[in-house]
Amino acid sequence: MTKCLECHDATYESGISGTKHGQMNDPRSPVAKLGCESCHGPGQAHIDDDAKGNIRRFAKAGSTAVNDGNGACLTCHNRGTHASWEGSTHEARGLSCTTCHSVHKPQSLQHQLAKTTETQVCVACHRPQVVKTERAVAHMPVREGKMACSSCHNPHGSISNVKGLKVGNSVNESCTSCHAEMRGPMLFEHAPVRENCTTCHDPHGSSNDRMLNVRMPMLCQRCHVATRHPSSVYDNAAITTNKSNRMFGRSCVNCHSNIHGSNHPSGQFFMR
Amino acid sequence: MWRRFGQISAWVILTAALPAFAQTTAQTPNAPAAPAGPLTDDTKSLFSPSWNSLQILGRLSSVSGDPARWQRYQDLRDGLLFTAARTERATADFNVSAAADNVGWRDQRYVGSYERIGLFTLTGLWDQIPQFYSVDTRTPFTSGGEGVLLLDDAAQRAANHNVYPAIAPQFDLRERRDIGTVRVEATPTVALDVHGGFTTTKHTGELPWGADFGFSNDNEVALPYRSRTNDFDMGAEWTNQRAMIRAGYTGSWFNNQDDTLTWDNPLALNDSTAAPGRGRTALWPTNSLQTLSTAGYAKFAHRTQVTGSLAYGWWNNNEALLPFTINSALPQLTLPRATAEAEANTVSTNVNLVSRPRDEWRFNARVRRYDYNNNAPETSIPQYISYDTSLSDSLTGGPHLFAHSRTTFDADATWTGVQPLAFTVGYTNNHNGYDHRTFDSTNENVLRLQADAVGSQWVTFRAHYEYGSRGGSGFDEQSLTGIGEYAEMRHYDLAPRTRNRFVGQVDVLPTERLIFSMSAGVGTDDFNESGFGLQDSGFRNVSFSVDYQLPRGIGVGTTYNYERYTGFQQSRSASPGTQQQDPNRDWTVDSRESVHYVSFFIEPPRIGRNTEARFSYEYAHARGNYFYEVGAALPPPSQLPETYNKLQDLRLDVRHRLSGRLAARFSYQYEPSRIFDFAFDPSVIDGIVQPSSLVLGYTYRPYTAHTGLVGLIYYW
Repeated sequence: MTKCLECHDATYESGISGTKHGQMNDPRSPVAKLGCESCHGPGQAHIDDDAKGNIRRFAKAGSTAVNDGNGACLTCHNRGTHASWEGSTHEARGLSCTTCHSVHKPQSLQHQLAKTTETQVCVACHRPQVVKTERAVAHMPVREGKMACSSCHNPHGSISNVKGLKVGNSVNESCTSCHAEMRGPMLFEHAPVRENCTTCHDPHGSSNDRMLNVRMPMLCQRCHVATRHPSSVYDNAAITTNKSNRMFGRSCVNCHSNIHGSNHPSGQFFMR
Repeated sequence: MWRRFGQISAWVILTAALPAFAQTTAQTPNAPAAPAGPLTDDTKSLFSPSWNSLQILGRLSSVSGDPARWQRYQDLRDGLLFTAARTERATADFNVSAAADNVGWRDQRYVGSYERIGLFTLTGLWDQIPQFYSVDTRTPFTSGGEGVLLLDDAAQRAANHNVYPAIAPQFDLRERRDIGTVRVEATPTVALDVHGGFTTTKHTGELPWGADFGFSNDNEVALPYRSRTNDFDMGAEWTNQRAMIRAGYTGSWFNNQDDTLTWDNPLALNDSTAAPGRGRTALWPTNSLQTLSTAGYAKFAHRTQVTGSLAYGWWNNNEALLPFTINSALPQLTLPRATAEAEANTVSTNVNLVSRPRDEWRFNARVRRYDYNNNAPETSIPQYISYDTSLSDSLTGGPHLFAHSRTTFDADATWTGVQPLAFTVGYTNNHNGYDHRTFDSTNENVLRLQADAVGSQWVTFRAHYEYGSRGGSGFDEQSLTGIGEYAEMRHYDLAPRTRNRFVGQVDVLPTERLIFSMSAGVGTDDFNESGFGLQDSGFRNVSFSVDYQLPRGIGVGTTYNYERYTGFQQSRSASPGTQQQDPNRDWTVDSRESVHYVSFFIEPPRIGRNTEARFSYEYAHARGNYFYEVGAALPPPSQLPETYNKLQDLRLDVRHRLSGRLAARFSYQYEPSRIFDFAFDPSVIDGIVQPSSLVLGYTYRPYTAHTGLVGLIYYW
């Protein structure tokens, strides 16, 4: 490493010192192993090379193949949240670790991200999802800084769940890890609630109250068209002239309050 | 004064660093003494996140319109703000860090971490997340103890909603989560990790809640809500260069301290067979979920890795069942049992294989199965009490024991023979089984085609196309007709479906400082066999962005994003009998939502040596339309007005170095929000008394907010 610092001291000091990679007392850190060569590979050829090639580089797009660069990182980052990388969506789409991270010039205080915030990293490819967090009506508290993409997702993939969700073994197990009141099981259950929260909700944000995929009563009427009120046309007269309680405010759940399930013996229609 | 404070700070650090200072001056005796402190490194932007700094700010705001929607998940009241405090101390043996935001405010957060390098890390978090619903809310209900809402007896006796506005004072409708976490992660050996964590979440406040007694007596109340969720997890993981194996346990216990709501009837004081004097409902039950899991991977020759997991979960809710009604004038039905005895278990398995036998080939196969087994006992509830008002016969005879299983098989092959391109063809089979749904099972075959170019220095390209075809088997017509639905209804979450989706993105980098990016997506879901219900849905989006970045944080960028979502559904408005067979009573609604989003930022060069500024602007405008068409037997509909919500967010932030340790900050934010939703518009909710309802008066209102922050950033 001393040899490397003859030319690369500025880069070293600005990037490695004080980070996990520079902790000499951590036997897992590259500094405690082979120094710079832990990640960049043997350096003698690079030293002898007038053109200063012959070294593993980790540029977002460069001479080192993505798999080779990632493989160097995965030599150590092969456990915990990184253990699910192989087979993850990001791995399958050819992302390199340096697409999101910068070891030598991190812009964030944590996780050594290439941008200042997590959202700035994720938006590069997931703009529709990030833009939904800007909805004026209903959104997760992402723009307020109380949540981030990684509150729900593990960008390195998930061994046990779908969509890279980092908690639980299903979408519902992930959602109810915070919204435990909806978890149940309950005496009377609503099948789509039991099976998948995203049947009705958009977890990233929505223009509809309660982050619904489509407003009520239209959402409910996509499955419930039984005779009488479920199949009524709730047009503008229902809201302006009649002020129907099936239309204003919380619409169907004005009455069917326990729509996520009921523990009441009279709760068949989720009204108790 | 601030400059003087900075000079004092500089003197203190200079004194502390006297030996180094003496050495420097000895080497360059004529050089002027540089001001000490982290800001002496003027290559560092004042906007860069930084350890060992804090901000002391004064916040002054002006808001017209709805202050609750403006604040929503934040506490933005005027006052002194101590925030963005970050400190870290690192030695060869340990790291300590701590952070604090919005100290003393409703949205305060504290984080702390102690790391004994190479041995363990202990972290803690305290986070408060408020949710401010409304200041427009009024209610005549008063608290009568835990989970009890009372009305004035005389008002109940009057049996007229119009007496309530006079006795309904305004209140702020809000709730809050307080989250505390402690985690420890230890590394006893190079190969072994053990971890454990405990999180407790207190959820308090009030929620808008429908508490009704029938179609013509609908009430909205502020539901008192107090709950605590305790989560505990522990696990161990062993890893070497060839394999990993882990085992873990997670337990989550949700305790709802207000698990019932009892509330007075605004239109009746005493119980009768026509109406109850009060109603009672069960709320979210206290429940638990515990999971044991194991996972691991093994690496083989040809860069092959097999990853697998197995998890078993226990779900439980055994709360006491409430009586069928609180109405003493009605006959009491016999409870099927004393407690819910609602239990389930889940089994989740995953096996994933990735192999790169040759440099230009990557293969991936995955099998995943998730079983939700409902173990609650079969329960007979042939009759129940509707709205605490009347005895009704159940159409189903009791609760259905919904259960489901999902089996997914994925296989992908990727060829990278022409660098930097990668072509992928994939196949997915989703086979799901259901208890008590309209189909016993569904089967979906999905073809996926992908093309990626990520190794080029100039262009990054991604495209993904997906075609899926889903069918159902074991159709149970009785499950629909038995509850009054049409046999032609198909529930869209499992209805036969044809799916076409394409998403793509191109990033062009003419130089390493300039990025042009364009992305687009289009997709449709056609529910071809659905006579009623959702017929099709779709989305489109397109996005353009340009970013130009120079060193030292100088840059400019803009983004435009357009999204469009559609849905088309069909129903038949009918009373029981011959109307149900009349297609002239069919109607459809075509739902469309379009969203325009624009953002713009400027990070200009410094003004002089010490002043930096940032400017950003965001604009999001969503519009929703719902267009009805009806059959000849129905009256022509009066079309609903367009809904919209528009949010702008303009921010100017100026920071100026005062000394090596101190900077001044001034920021201004302009945030106008415009919103119209006919269901929540003040013109519709024009009071707490509606024709058949007593409501809280919770409405959607616009706001315009100006917020100024002035203060200091201190670095050490």
